[in-house]
Amino acid sequence: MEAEQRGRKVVSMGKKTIIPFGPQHPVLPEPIHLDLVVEDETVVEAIPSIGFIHRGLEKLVETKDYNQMAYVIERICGICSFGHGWGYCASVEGAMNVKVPERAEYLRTILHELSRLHSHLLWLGLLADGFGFESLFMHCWRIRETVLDILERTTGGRVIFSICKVGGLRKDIDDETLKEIVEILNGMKAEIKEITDVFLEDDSVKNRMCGVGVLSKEDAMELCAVGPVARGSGVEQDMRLTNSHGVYDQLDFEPMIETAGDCYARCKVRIREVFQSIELIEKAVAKIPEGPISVDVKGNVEGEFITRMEQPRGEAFYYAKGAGSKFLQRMRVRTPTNMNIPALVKTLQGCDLADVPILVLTIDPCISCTER
Amino acid sequence: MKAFKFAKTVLKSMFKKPATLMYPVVEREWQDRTRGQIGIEEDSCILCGICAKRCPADAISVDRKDGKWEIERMRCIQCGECVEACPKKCLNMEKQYTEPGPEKVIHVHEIEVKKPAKPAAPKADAPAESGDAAAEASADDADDTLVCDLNACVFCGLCAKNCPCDALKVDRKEKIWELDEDACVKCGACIDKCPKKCLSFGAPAAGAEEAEELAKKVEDSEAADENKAAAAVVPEFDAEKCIYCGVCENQCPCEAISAEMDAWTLDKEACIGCGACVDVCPAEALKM
Repeated sequence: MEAEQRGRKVVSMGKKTIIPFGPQHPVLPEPIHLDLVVEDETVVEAIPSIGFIHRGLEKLVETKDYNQMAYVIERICGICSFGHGWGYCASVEGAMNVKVPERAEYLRTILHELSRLHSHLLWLGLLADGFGFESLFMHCWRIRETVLDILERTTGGRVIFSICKVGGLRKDIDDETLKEIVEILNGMKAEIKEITDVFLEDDSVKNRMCGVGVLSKEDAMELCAVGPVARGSGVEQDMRLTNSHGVYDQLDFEPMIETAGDCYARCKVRIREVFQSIELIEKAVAKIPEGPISVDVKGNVEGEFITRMEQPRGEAFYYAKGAGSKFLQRMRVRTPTNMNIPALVKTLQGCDLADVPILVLTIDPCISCTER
Repeated sequence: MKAFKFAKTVLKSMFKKPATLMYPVVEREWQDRTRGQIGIEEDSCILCGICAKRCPADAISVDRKDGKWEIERMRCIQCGECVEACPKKCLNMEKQYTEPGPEKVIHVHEIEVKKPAKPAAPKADAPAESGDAAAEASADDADDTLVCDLNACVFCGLCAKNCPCDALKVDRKEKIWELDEDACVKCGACIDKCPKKCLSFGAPAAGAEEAEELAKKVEDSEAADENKAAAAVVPEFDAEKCIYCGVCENQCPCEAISAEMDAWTLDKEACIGCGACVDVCPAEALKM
């Protein structure tokens, strides 16, 4: 009766049981713990808890100077590392009134989109793994490897780039390489389409995702969901459109919006963003100006600055404050997963126990980001 | 047929070569920029310790007394900051990764401490000796001692501030510029920072005549120094260009500049005309 009042389909008279989920779980590479209160096979309530891998990176600003911190902040996450480095550098540059050369901004945008590309391909693989489609998972990661090769060729690292510094970039990418990158990415399009069509059209895959974990637009707004989770529920929110970072204002694009709000919609948003990233890189390469890639930054950090950045997982927020020394006084990073956990808890209520792994995966959790 | 969407990909894959390599039996091809691990050319290292200071992970430690350069391989994050900072360019980024292992390895490199050829450390501000030192140093190219052209020097102390080994002592009041040759590692960091470009390795002019001339000049330098404060060129300020960032204020070695939100003032008596502020001004609002 109680269940019916709350609008759930399944009425059960079963006893409530608590099933612990994570921090160690076969589908989860990230340590989040959920206490799932289940009645029969239905989840009634999910209680999340985090705090397994806190590393205290924000505290390090007090002992590492602002140039060294660029390398530390980057290591918050192994997937969206470039975005973190950029967000930090943009905040410090803002606080110090440093104007970054335009070529550096273009290159940063290109590298950021490459990161998004490999992050989304990685996520697609994890999702396939989550619903038990092992070979699809491997093919996603095979394609991702091409992007990682491009990143290693341009920055020297596969996932940790160490190329972004306060004042610009450390290494230039010559125009010939940029053109080659566009060629490689365009060549990949057919391959990616072949794989992503399986996600979007295959019946068995659709059965696992369509109508599962619906998050309404109102809920998404109320629970402050960000990134693909919000866009999958029809919220038009993309930090790239706020022109707070990069040269996205010159690239002319629309955010990818789906309205269904279920797992399928979130998956579709990310698949469309994969192709969008390739397009954005192509546009940026066509427009990139000649010029220097960095300016010398001297002196101490004085003042504070906020940067909002669209990471592959959604909006990330960076706050830097300096008080006239080469060490920052405070650095704060708020990551997208942090904002998406309430939405996750909401969608978990009333879902099947078997759908829990997919639901957790569709917010693309990055707990090492969240806890830093 | 929507149920067999993946069949095509699977069938194609059956006739393809595997996407993976039999690592480590088959070696992978490295990219030009691959950051594997830090390597060192022991011969050219001068144990200045700049790499250890710049390392964000504290992976490098330099012991000058025992002649040891150590790197903790598991701490190193391969950012390449030390490679960029090394004044002798003896650090490089090797492409091969550190070998995996069950223990945290520390690689120790024994490096011979290169003592200067002349054991006695002459005070550079003592006129006759500095002339000698300059002449001798120019004769022996391998061990050029750091020399300061005291005629041009304004004793701002930026060289001493930037010395990684605390080998320099500068006293503005007494007009003393002192070099501890044993401590100096000849990294050249002071030469880069000198606003007056009066530092160099060996005598700036090699000829004996000029060395004598230099010695003479140094003799006169005390007299010249006295007039310096009055005669010195002070920076000119362009209010239209100034963005009141305060960088000049931070840089000024004698605290002669105060840059408030909308007022820039210079204490002309305190200014020694070093020009450090002109070099750092981001808006090019200052000139000498």
